[in-house]
Amino acid sequence: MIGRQARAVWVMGKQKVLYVMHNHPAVHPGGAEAYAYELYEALRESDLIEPLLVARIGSGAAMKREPHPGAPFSAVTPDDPNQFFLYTDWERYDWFQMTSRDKGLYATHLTDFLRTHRPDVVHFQHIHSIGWDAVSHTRRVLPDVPIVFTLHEYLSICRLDGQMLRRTGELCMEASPRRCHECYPDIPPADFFLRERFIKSHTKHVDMFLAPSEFLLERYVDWGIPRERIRFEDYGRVPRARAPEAPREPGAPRNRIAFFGQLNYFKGVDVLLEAMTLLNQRGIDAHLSLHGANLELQTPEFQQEFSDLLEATKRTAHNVTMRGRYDPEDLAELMAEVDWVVVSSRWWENSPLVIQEAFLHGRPVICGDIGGMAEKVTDGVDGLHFHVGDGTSLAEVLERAVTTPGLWEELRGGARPVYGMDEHIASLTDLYTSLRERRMPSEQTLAR
Amino acid sequence: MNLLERSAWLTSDVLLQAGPGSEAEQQELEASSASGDQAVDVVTRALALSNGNEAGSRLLAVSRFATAQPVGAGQPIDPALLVREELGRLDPAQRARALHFLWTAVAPSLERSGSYPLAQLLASLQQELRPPLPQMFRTSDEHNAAHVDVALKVDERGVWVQGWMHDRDNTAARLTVIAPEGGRAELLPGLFRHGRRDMEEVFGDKAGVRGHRHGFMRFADLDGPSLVSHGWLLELETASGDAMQNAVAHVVSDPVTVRERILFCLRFEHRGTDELMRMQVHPAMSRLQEGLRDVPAIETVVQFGEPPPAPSVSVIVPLYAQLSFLEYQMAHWASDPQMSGQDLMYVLDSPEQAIVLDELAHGLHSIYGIPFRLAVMKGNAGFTAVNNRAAELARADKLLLLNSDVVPDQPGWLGRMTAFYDATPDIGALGPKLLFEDDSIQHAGIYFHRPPVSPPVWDHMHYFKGQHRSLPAANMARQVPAVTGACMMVERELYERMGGLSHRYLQGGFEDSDFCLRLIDEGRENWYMPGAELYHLEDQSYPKDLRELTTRYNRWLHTRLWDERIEQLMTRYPGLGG
Repeated sequence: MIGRQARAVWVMGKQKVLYVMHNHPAVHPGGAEAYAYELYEALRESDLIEPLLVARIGSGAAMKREPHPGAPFSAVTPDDPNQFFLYTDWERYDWFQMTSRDKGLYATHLTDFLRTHRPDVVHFQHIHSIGWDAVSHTRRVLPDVPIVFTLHEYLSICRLDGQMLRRTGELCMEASPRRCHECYPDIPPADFFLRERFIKSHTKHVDMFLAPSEFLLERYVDWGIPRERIRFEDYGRVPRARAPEAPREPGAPRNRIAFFGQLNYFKGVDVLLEAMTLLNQRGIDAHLSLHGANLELQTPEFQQEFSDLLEATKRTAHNVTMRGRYDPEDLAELMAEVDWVVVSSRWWENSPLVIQEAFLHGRPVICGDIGGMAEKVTDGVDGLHFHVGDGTSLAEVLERAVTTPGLWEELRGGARPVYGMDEHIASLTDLYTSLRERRMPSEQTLAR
Repeated sequence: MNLLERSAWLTSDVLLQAGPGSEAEQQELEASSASGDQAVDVVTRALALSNGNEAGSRLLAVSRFATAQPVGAGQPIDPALLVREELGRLDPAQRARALHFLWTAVAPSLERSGSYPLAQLLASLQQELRPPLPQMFRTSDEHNAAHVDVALKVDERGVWVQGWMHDRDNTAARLTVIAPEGGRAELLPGLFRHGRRDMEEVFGDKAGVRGHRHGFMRFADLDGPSLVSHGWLLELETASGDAMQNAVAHVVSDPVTVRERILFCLRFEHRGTDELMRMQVHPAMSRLQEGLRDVPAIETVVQFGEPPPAPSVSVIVPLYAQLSFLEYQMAHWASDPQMSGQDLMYVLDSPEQAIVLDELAHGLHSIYGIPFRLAVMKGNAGFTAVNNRAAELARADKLLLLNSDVVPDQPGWLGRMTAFYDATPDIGALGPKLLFEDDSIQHAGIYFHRPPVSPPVWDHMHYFKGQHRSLPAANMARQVPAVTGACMMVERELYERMGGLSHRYLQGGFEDSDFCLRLIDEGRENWYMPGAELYHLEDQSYPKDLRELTTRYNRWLHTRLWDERIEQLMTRYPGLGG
């Protein structure tokens, strides 16, 4: 009886959903951040959901800011009462265990925040630099509130930056104390065992995990998340006008290629530069624009290797242009300059936003033949696959792409529709409602 | 009493006197104190000293009172001044005799607490007045030379000395280490010798060295306590009466360092024997452990949360160095409803981490809400002391000794262990199945085995170690010779009656099986049960070579104490494991 009454109340009012994310896009660019913020902005227009946003900030973010003393939670802007920064310190964050050494962060400040806002649902987008304790502590403070968690990478499974790519460069499908110890010879297997146990003692409080790719879903199921507590839910995107086709002489090849993303080892920019050199050696006329940032955050070895490769292309062909960091709002303009988008990552990926962006603008995608990216791009339908991590293979695929007449038009026509934000929000709303029904408050809680 | 013209109080109960007198008066003086008709209980010793150049002899007397005396008897002067003036005019031989007298007469007073100023006074007088012997040199021309590399203070009298002695033609008649206050320990009888390649190179002639071995080690007792660490000497005297000396530069008294340094000496044991162990290391270690026994106790106990009203088990978890295990365990206890009702005690054995741990404990309690007590030891006390002291504070009828690197596989394990314990008559200790992180068996009970080494020892073995956890033979509850202390349930009253774990073993090894063997002697049976499964992640933080030597010591001692008993016992447990 009580359940039905309670449900009636939910249906009439908006559900208050708290979103917790590991960065604020205003401070640190990144795919998961961009998506989470886009969702938040879209929900502000929603009739069904009142969103609250908590974005982690502090040391380690691009710009370090200091909190007001004793107030790790603080409002972001006077214009929006529902948006908060959460300041945490990297110095007190344990990367191995994925927890903060500052337990007062959870016990005092998170408790106060949750009690103040009393969300109906807490949806974690990320707990990086916040810690898994935030999840189980939310459960303790709000025992009846569903907890949803979107998985953006494999950090809980893989200590090595959540990439599931071994130090040898070998792709990894399975974490175990023994195998992880092989990647980290200084850390005994027992520590990896405890790490997994510790994280799982927190993950069990999550009512539903959301996996933006089937591939990621299966990895987490293999790792031990029960199948009934994880479901596929891709990133929803706000539709936008397609960028116009790149201008070109009639009959000229579709040979303008772009890379969007961070310039690091995992993204395989070195593989892409190698392929561009090979293309030039074969006399193929093609041009690559590199749109990316954060090169300065990479290891000195990688920075050196990258600049050597870039120099090599400059000496010979001038077929690569470094364009640097871009703002998401400029993307349409940048897309308008190019024909193809390359995702050269050497790791599995999950659901790369750049693939969605490319499809939104009708650009076929050339990507590696593994994991989340292969799942999102169908070889020969809306894009082309190459052997992951293999510059020669990428060069061959690029050659085929820019020299085969009609291929570009065919693949552009094959682009699948991108999952829309409205559909995504409808799906999330249903999920929240059904989880709340499942977590029907006990009579005792209602009486309180 | 006040017979002699000059007197000075060395301490409030030791009076030093000097004045003219002969040997006859010396005896009279000593006899009067022995007669017992004094008003106060006092022992006087005296020495008549004659200086060749002066007429008449003088008496030096030391009187030790049973109780402290009101200062003011006689005309007290500065004792150092008195000694300097009396001894300064003597020739070296008489002076040495007087100093030795002073030492033997005063030494018993050093046994008392608060005697450090007296020890310092003695040491400074020795240093000032002791006639020096010729120095020893380390050149290949020498017939005799010796050097102490390090002296380790085991307790007030016991000293472990290691160094080298070059003794061409075997003429060394006496090798003595001398404490700053004057205490002496003879090293030669029973001296353990071992090869020293470096000294062979210095002195060349290998054949001239007794047994071709320059190195030596010896645990010896001084003839009185020593408290001062600077001013130690080594003396060597040959059969022809030539005596030489050498300073002992390096004296160590921190018990943990001393224990480690002595253990490292075991690497010089003669192959196939236990000579060094039996004659030197074990006597030294026994004294060291005896000294540690009652010193470190629990300094503070803090209660986090409300103490559970009726705990059935007191869970005692020692913490040492690796504090992160606390968080891992808490994360497990949080999902195990049985744990929040128990008397959970964490005991920190590395008190220098107390502040860090306190913060961590507050944080973890605020997150998990599991009630527990946190006790901090006064000093690094070791596994035995931690458990025995914590057991004294236990509130439940059963104890569970639990390592911090043990986490359960599933909730409910403690209830199953308790139920098993309660249902088993005459049970002594109960141990569960312990697993490595790869799900292979770490512990399914302990048995004993003689490895092919000489001299023979009994080694600890774990049944089915390394087998898969599903092995049928490991999934039957049964009686075993012993169970591991990493996770051991025992009735508290029984534990206390047995005196808890033994203090004789070092650093957590073999005290568990020693305890289990004592339980068997009490008519109890030790049980292994597979129905409770936990992971034991065997902390590897203790340095490997030291761990190996510690184990070697403990194994030797355990064998020495239990050899015949184990022999009988193992016939009762035939064919299991290997």
